[in-house]
Amino acid sequence: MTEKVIEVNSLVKKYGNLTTVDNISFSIKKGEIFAFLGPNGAGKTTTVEILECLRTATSGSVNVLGYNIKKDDFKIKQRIGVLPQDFSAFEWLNVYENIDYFAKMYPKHLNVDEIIETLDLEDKRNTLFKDLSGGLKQRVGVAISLVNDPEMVFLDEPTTGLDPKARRDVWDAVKELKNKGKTVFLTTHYMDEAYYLADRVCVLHKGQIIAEGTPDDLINRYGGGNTLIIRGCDPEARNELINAIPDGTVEGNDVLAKLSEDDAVASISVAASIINTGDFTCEEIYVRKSTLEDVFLNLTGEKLTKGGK
Amino acid sequence: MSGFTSDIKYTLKSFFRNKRIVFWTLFFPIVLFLLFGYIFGSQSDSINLYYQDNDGSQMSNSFIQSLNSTGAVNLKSGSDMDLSQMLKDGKISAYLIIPSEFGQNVLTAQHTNSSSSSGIQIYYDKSKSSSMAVVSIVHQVTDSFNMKMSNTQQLITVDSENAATKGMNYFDFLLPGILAICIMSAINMAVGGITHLRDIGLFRKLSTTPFTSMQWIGAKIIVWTTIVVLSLVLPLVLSWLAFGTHPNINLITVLLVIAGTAMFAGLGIIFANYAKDSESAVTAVMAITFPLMFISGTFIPVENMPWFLQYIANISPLTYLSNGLRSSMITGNYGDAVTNLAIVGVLGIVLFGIGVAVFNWKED
Repeated sequence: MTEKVIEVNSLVKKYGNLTTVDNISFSIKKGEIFAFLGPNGAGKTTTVEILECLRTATSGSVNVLGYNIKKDDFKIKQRIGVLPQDFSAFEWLNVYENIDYFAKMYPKHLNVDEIIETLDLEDKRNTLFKDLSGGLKQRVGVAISLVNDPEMVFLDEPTTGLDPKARRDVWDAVKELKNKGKTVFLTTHYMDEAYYLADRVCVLHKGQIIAEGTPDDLINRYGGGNTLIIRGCDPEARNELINAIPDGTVEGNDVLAKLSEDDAVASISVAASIINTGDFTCEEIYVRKSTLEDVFLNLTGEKLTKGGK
Repeated sequence: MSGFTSDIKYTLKSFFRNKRIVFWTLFFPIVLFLLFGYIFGSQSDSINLYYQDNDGSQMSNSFIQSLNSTGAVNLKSGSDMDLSQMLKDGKISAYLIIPSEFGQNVLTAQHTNSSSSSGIQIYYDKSKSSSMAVVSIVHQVTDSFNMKMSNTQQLITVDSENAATKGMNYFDFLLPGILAICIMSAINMAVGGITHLRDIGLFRKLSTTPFTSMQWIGAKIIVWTTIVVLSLVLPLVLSWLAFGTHPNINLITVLLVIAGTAMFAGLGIIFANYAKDSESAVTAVMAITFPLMFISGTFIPVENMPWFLQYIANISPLTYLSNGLRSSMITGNYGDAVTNLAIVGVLGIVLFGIGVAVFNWKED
């Protein structure tokens, strides 16, 4: 049986009458990348900050690496690494000095130059933090979260505000953590990030967990199936297609049809056949796969929006 | 190296790399010193104080001697002169009147253990910087004289030996004020440092490490004190080399620097704790410290200001720090220095204590 590194039971966090975390329970297995996915105000950061010993829970029990967060926070802090949301290091220290500063906070820490090498930051070793690009700053943040060789790494919205290239760089760094055997707890509101990185995803909405599973499992269960899209069809083609394809609908010049697992291939064949034999004009035909965005939309009726806490 | 020493080392490194902060902290006091020194202190180094002794008693003579023994002013008798007109004409910056029956009134007050009804009158021209120093000197000598006459323990005295070597000019007056302003910068360091680190998420990061907030505060008080001390060195060296001042740095001075730093750092920590963000915190602190800089006896004596500003000056902690430094370093009025040290010391302990108690980087 895989060891559980985090166990959360009936966790509640209230601010006055406002409940930001509403009786949630989950566990994280050793060596996996576990993601909290949810929009602004879902309670992701509050939950993760309770686990990092930064905030105090109103009620519920939380064990991190076998330690109770209420009694053993000092021991937990020595064994976890954290990249907080919107983290920025010391502007007037260079990359080496920033990592070294945090390394010295721990009784035992890794060699700073080895961490720099691991995160591929050798070229920027002596560059001031303020002169780094957004992606490199986040990579330094990841490097800092590794100074104590943690068993568990918390990354809170690690790619918010980064350009696509920088996001990819951070993703590579996170994947590398998993390869090194670290357990990673990721919070994100980017569904593609959760899909690409996470072994398991927990979808949070208004402080509650509304779904949990692997990304593909969630998509299969809640994504509503794949969609066949035949774009830019003339009127005759549209009529023929919606009569021939089960559950076909028309949106503008496009024909859309939800594909179930049983008839997906058949529906695609029928559509291609009608277009070919009837000499109709259609611009393109493709299948759009469901995403975690669809999962969230189907579960909540809302879209995942940019944001954080 | 522990987190504690690492924090000290890297905070100082960050400080010295930020040229803007270095300028405002270390060099701006020099600019202030030169600016105000030349604006207000462009007159002759020696300060002439004309006096009229309308009493002619042993007592009044003794007071004159006390004033003369400080060496801080050139006393000139103006018995046959129209000093009032000379002051209006701008020929002199201040004059002193010892009223008739001065000695008798002082003796009566001494025997009846009450306040004397006969006060020394000093008239001065506010537009002349030297008058500010004169007022300050007369006040201090009067305090010392009162204490001596009332046969109490001589807590307040004028150190004639040291004072005799000093010819007090405006730069002498200004130097302790500038040093007090340097010490007050601890409030900016505390507010700016804490709110900035909180804004950029560094406190959240640090609170997830084994490093504690108390260790952080401990490291910071060393850093802030170091920077404050460095900021004091430049005005001291400049005043010594360029203006010939000979400030007497003694134990009281050192204790005032430490207590003053603790006092303003404590205030800064309290401010930072309740501020929303660094911008609003720094603005609020500037709005308070900037006026205090001018009305706390730093550039001009408190006695020269309108009554309502004097009222504010009396509740300004900078006033006591500035006065204490002036008494311990320049005038040698150690009794006054100890009194001010006691006030600054108590405020330092209380405010820093409150600051440490309210400081917490763990979020709710």
